[in-house]
Amino acid sequence: MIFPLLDTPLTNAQTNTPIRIRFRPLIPLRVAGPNGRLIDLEALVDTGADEVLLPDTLLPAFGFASGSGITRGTSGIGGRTTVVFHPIRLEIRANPNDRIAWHATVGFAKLSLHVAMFGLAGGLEFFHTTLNVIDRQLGLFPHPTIPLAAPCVSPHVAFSVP
Amino acid sequence: MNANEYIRNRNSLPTEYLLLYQGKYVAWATDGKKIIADADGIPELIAAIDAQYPVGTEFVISYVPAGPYEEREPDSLAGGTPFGPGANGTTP
Repeated sequence: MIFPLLDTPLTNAQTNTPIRIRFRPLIPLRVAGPNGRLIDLEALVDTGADEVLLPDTLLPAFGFASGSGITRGTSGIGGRTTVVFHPIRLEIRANPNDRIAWHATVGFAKLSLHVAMFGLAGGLEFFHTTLNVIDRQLGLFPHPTIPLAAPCVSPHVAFSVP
Repeated sequence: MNANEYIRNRNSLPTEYLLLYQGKYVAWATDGKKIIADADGIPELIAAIDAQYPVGTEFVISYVPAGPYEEREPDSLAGGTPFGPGANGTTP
């Protein structure tokens, strides 16, 4: 699957006017909770991130009870934070005929700057990834080890964790 | 959802459109042509979508960082291109 890089404007600190466009590997990532709720998030593809991280404010929307899940601390650019892990389904689509869904256990945490991080565990570990900045293209090619799941489609359908 | 269409359309929007939503969580239409809702937090954004649109409405949640957020001289940064026709990337 090939995705264009997303233009991200940066603004001047003094004038707050746009001065530069950055090209970032941001892709729509579809998330399905066990309750069947589907939510698409803009996720930064980040080879330096250990896990797929989603905002913890989504936990209720996916039907996860407060205090449930496996919790552990982690450190990143934003400092130390607590991450709660839950099993969900993920899906990416380059176009309607080119998509893939899989089972993953991902972290939920307080995130800043980006809505979601598409890191290694649960995400990039299942893909051959290429970044072509010159042509402004991101390539994500599924590996045979990916734990395939049923497509994440509306209307909302609950599913069982394998 | 067609991610290629979504990103291409997002890239064709004027930067000034995004600046209207600085510091907000936003819900993009799945074709990437417009923002259909905005809020200060993700739960509020989802509640707004659920209140305004039919069940099953698809959208993409994103965040527009609050400016100003470029604090270094642009020429010291690798990558990216100056904004706008004729721009030379220097700090006004």
